[in-house]
Amino acid sequence: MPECPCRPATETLLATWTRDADASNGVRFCMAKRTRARELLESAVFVLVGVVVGVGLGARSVWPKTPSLPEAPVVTPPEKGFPEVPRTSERVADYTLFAKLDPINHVVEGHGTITLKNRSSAPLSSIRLHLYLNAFKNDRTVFRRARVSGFRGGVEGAPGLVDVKKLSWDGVDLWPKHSFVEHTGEYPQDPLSPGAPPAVGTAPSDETDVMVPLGERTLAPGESASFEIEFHDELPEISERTGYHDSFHFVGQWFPKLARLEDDGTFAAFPFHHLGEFAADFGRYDVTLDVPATFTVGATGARVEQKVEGGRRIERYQLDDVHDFAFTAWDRYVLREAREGEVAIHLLSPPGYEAAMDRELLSVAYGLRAFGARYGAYPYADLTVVHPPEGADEAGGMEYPTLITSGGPWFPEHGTHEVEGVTVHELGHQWFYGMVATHEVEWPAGDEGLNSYAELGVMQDLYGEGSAARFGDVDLSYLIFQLRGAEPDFEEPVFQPTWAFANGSSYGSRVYGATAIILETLRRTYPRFDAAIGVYARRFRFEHPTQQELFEVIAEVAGDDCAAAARAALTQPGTLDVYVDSILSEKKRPPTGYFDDGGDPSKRKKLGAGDESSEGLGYANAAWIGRKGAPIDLPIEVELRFGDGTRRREIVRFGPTATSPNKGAATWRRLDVDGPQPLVAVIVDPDLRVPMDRTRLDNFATREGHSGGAPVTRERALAWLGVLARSFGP
Amino acid sequence: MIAPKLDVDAISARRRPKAIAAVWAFELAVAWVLASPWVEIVGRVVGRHPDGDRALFWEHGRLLLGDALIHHASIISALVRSTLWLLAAWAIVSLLPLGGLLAALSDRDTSLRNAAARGTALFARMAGLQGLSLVLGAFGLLLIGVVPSLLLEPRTANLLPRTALVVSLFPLVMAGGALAYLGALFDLARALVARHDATTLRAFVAVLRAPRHVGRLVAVSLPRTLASLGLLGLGAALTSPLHAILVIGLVHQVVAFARVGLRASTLARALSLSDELVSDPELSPVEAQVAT
Ligand SMILES: [Zn+2]
Repeated sequence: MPECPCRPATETLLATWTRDADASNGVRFCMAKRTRARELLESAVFVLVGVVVGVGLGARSVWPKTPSLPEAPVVTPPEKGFPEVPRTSERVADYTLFAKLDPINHVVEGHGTITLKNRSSAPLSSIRLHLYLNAFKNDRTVFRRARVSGFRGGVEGAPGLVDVKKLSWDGVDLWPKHSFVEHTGEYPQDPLSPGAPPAVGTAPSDETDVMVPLGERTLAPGESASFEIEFHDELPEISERTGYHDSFHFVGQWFPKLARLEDDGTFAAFPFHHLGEFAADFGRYDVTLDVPATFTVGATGARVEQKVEGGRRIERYQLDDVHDFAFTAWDRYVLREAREGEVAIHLLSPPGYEAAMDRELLSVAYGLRAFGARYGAYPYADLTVVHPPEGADEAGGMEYPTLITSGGPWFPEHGTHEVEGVTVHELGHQWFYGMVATHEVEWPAGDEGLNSYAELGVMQDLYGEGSAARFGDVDLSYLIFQLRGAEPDFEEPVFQPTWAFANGSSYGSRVYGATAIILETLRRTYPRFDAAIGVYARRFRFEHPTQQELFEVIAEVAGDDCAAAARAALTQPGTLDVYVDSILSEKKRPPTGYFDDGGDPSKRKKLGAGDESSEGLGYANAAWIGRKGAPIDLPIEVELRFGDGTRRREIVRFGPTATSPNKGAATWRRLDVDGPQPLVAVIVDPDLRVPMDRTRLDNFATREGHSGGAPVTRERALAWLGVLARSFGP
Repeated sequence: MIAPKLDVDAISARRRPKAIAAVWAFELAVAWVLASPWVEIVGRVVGRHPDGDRALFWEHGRLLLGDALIHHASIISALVRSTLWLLAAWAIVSLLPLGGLLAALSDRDTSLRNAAARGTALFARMAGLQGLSLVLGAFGLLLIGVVPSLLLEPRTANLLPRTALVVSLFPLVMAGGALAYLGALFDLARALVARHDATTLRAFVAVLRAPRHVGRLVAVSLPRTLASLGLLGLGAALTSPLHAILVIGLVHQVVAFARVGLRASTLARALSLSDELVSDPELSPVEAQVAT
């Protein structure tokens, strides 16, 4: 401020600037001290209003709080109670492995013993092994040439491979006799891998499925054989869950792995497919990992030994009754240890991801309680949660026995729950994949679909029905994300093999979203449905159940009606849409026209309008409810609203029902609800028991003059577009 | 054209409630136009629900809202696009009420008719300044904010994510400061045009050479901007209960009115600062007038 040569402004508080007109050098201004002080005060008030009101109220309205850890949910058991869970699996494939990681060259040198017990009824003259890392060997593999998009595995970095050096049985090396099973298009009915020619020259077209003859000998039923093995892995740049990113290493599908042995002595073998996962036998794993001393390790199982010598960290992990083993090593991990009940939780994440770790811990701690209560207690002593660093997202969102990978941003997301969702999902896989070990290639919904349903249940427990995304008063339910995911590219059946799906996004929508939505529909409609899944998960713990066995348990626990709906919804193509077509409501009138008493024309009476009073006759009311899409029969609730404000519920069924399957499936039903009051509105499925309904926008109808209009939208739009008008305005 | 001016000490937003109300009404009308297609579409989609679009905001309505988002995505994106185009048009048309508001704050004549006429007369010069401010603003944002932020990003890979964010946000914050300064600078230029009949270019050159005046205007405008944002937060927080929608609507409009008032208050200070600037023969864009 310049010196103030003129008189102070005293006339008015509002006069901030005074003008001295008679000064010879023109007009001079100055600010009076009083007004200056007032101005400062005003500014302070404005700042206060801005910060306190804006941050305090505005931000609060869009920032939901993180919930505290809830108690386990109350689970309704089936009438006969839940069955006991088996304590151990039948151990068919045991692995004792030693793996040395060279993180500079991204190489793993491995050796050890694989023991196979012939649990089948036939003698074995050969074995089948999976060499999954070879999927990344070149761009002609089944994995790389499949015409699949819209799902993970898109990264095409440095290739990866596994070379088997030796596979010997009682000192005889069997490996020289091995042969790769060719998959040049004839791979089980796979339409996605059209007859690609062998890659280059005489190179095999795919080296993920290998057959090794046992030479002169056979392995008799009930006998076991131990194979000495040596192999060399070159890890790919992170793709489809495995590989490296700088010094971060996630090592999955890394060792020669026995295909699952079926009852008849065949092996459940397949090439590594872009959309397919795995199938393996249970067994004991004893794996010793050797990494640079500066690296932190996370792995399947419990760490039973550790030492540092010669600049190397050597850690030994053991776990029984699982069917895979994966590990991660990185020199930048932050490790946090926690406990939930009997389970030791190890959280590994990049530095600065504390907020994500908090939410991962909450998710697994509650998940262990909730999944345990519903599907049987978690039987292992350890659980490791890995949050891959930025750039290694392909390693995120994956399940291995007692080791899961999460994902999502480092900062606390407000209004969405990405980290929690993926963590809960991967934890759920400990049940649906880990313990209930369905064939993930033949029946991908058996693990991914059932698990998406289980995940939905836990997320709804944690955050209520809403709060998948919350912005102001727009509050989207977690179900919506599953619904959005379930929107089909094609109306394919949900329960079908991986390779039968049209493409990656169709696979994703049907296997994950649609299964979850269909099962959630059954849960909301049939009180015992979740108990049925609880029985299934317990009865088939450490087993490899089939679809048929799932449906049988549903019928046994939740009833034939529920099982029929489940079978219809899961195994046939198409989706379901229930809707209200129209409503009718007319005041009843006295009879008009000719009426012959006793059918005798001579006793004809003519009645005209106004001859009798219509007082007390009431209303003729009807509503037409329709069903489009697949003939899936569910009890559909319909709410009827009458002129005096009263409401009534009716159940509509379209058939065929389990009890009368021959009645056929109707596409419409009429509800006749005559009464003293006019019918003014109808809402189909008012309590959202049928989320698998394609849309709820056609689920209501009102009589002329009774619709609610859009007053809220008008107000919100005026307010928010007014804010925009202000921003772009004067 | 120069209308009879108010004395500088009589310039005050509080003395011109009619003009503020007119601008608020103008913006409400614009919002109404922008809102109409949305209301129409929502009315068609859920208006036939007995509870109307209240159903969309209910516990169970969340799924209904999801259905609308899923099944009407193309309509929604078309609506968003047309809304943005209309907003762009409004950004140009809004220069009329801007000129009018400046005139109403500066002139003795309090009639809205005068303000409208003056707004029309000032339109070309206001548009000139607006164009300049957009070009300079975009340039400043790129040069001070976006480009340095992008250049910094690869260098932050080994920092903690929080630190990396702060580092890469720093240029954007600087750019924000620059934009606040530019905003005040152009408000002062607008004031010179509206109150002292300066040409676009002369007004612009004058304010470029008067960083002290601009700085003082920033000191006034920033707290008001903050308060305006605070009111916005208040409005955003007040959304329920749904049955009191009329009351909530009223509160939202009171907030809108107050925000126009805060803006007018900043412009009033720009007008009074413009007198001071004009009185300085070194800086004045309009010597002839000052000499008399
Ligand atoms: Zn999964």
